Amino acid sequence: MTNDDAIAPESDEEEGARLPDEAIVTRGGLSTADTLCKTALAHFDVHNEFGISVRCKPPMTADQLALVDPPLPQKQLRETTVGALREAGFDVVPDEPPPTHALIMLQPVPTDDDYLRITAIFGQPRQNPAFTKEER
Amino acid sequence: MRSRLVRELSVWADFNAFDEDHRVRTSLRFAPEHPTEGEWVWLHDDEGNRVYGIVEHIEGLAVQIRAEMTTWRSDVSIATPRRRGAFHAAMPQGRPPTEAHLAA
Repeated sequence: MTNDDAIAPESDEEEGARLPDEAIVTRGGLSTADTLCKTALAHFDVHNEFGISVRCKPPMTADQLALVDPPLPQKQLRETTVGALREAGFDVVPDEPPPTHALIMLQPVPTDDDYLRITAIFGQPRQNPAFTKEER
Repeated sequence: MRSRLVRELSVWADFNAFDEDHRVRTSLRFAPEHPTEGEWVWLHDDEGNRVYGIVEHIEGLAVQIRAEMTTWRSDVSIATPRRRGAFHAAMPQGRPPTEAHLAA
């Protein structure tokens, strides 16, 4: 893999600092309700809490986040903001390492409706610039 | 090239959870057959993405797998996300999952 254009995130942010509402949140792939349910269950099995992996590091854009090493490998990505997720009742917290990794936090026992609401908050899928550069 | 697969196992993973070394920690709850440490498996999602990986560590349902990204394949085209699928239909609609679901 080549990551010549990968953008290193800023590292001077205080660990555990609250992410601002305007911060961009992105996930590689389509992030269907099925996928979000599966990843939350998998996260529970590994970490004993329900969370969904995302990338978020203000003031980075979704394209910049996708290019952070390791680049998002999927063809597509979707994006939203921390504020949009918080408005629906889902906080987003930093979870580095790896760089820019964050978690959408879910209630102790999430419902199907949670996953449907989260997938609806994300924008439509679009091409992932990190995938295009890999020419897979 | 000679295959390193003695048996072909697949493990579901969220490729958003890779670390800097392309390791991912996921669950074996979706694996039809459980691998052993040191075994090569397919990591896959539900969107046509897959990659070979080696199982580094297993603890209960939790498994750590390091992907060999030179084997990455992505065969999907952009599509509108589905609202519900087979897996979702198997979950209790509108109700929290039971202990049995969480232990499955």
